[in-house]
Amino acid sequence: MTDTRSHHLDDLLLLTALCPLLAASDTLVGALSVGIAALVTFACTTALLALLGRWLERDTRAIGTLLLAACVVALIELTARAWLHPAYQATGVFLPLVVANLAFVHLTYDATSPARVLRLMLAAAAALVILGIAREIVGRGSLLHGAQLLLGAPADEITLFRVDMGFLLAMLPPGAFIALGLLLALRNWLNERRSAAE
Amino acid sequence: MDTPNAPEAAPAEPRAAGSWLKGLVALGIALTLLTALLAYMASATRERIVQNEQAGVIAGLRALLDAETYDNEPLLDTIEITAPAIVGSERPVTIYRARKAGRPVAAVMRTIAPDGYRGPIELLVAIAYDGALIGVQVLHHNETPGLGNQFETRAAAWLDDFAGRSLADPPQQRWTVRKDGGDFDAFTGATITPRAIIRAVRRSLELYAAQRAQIFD
Repeated sequence: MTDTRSHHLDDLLLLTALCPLLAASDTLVGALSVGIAALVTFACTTALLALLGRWLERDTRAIGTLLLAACVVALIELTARAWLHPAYQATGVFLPLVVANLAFVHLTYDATSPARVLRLMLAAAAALVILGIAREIVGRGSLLHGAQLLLGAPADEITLFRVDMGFLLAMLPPGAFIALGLLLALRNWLNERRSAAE
Repeated sequence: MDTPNAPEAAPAEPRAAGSWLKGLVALGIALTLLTALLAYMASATRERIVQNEQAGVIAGLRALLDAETYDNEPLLDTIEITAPAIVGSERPVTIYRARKAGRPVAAVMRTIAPDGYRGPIELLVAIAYDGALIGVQVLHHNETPGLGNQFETRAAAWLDDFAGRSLADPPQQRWTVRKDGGDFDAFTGATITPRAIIRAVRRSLELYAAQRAQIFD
């Protein structure tokens, strides 16, 4: 596989992995909680798969990845419902989608290094957080809305400017895709400038 | 990550028959263990989860009922009523009863509006003994942020409009949003959510009227 093609694969995977989680990126806190949940699930499934990897064939691996990820997500969901209940109420509906996201990434990369999967998941989490920040600023004019859900009482919302209803489009799911498009455009532009400079 | 991935890198060889069976067995064992862990977690967290969910009800009851008006513990004085014909759902409605010196004061119904825009909306509907609405609280919902959830943001006073209403006020055909010829405001850009809530509140009143004797027996 050539380098550019593998880059394209990375891009495609990043997008597919992101899509199910995009809807949770309407605030920074939402994006962070789903991002963290995805990374924890990723770490647990990768460890489990590494343990079992020696016995798993390509076809059993696919089922295994899905089932293991589902178990891990169910465990995280129970934990969140018991000890992080407000955060669960805010983003809980998106948690099970992490399974789909992980299955994509794991199944495509099963023969290559976990380091690459890790990089991809970190990139996805970072993209979520960037989207969360951007959408919250544009949509609500605030930062860390609902932070007390994630961090406990002391954290407070930072109001950058006051809006009546906010810029709704940014907060609704289509806004996530528009924001993602802009983010990709920015990245492509930066890449192009860099390669032009070389 | 410190995960070894050597075995997969080996060049493809003709597979030993039943090597996938080994995989299935390994997977089966792992999943059995995980399922046991899940079952354990489910039972270990059940109490906390129920408590967490009760917390919303406790806060809702506090907001709906004036502490002066009752002297029992409505959270423990409950009754469940199943009335699919009125409620439109097989799910029993939990009713918290407030009393003062043993005399009924109010019933708070924990009910759902099944036809929210993004799934059911869980409500607490407080009805005074005489059948007048005391108030409505939303316990849980998945409505669209910024549109369907305006009852907790932009139109925070919207739910207050229910206070004092009853089956006769407004008359039945006007128990809906203005757009449908009713007496209630809709939200800017969202009609389905208010319509669902109004309908559920109306149904709670109907249930109360039909079953008041059983509710306070």
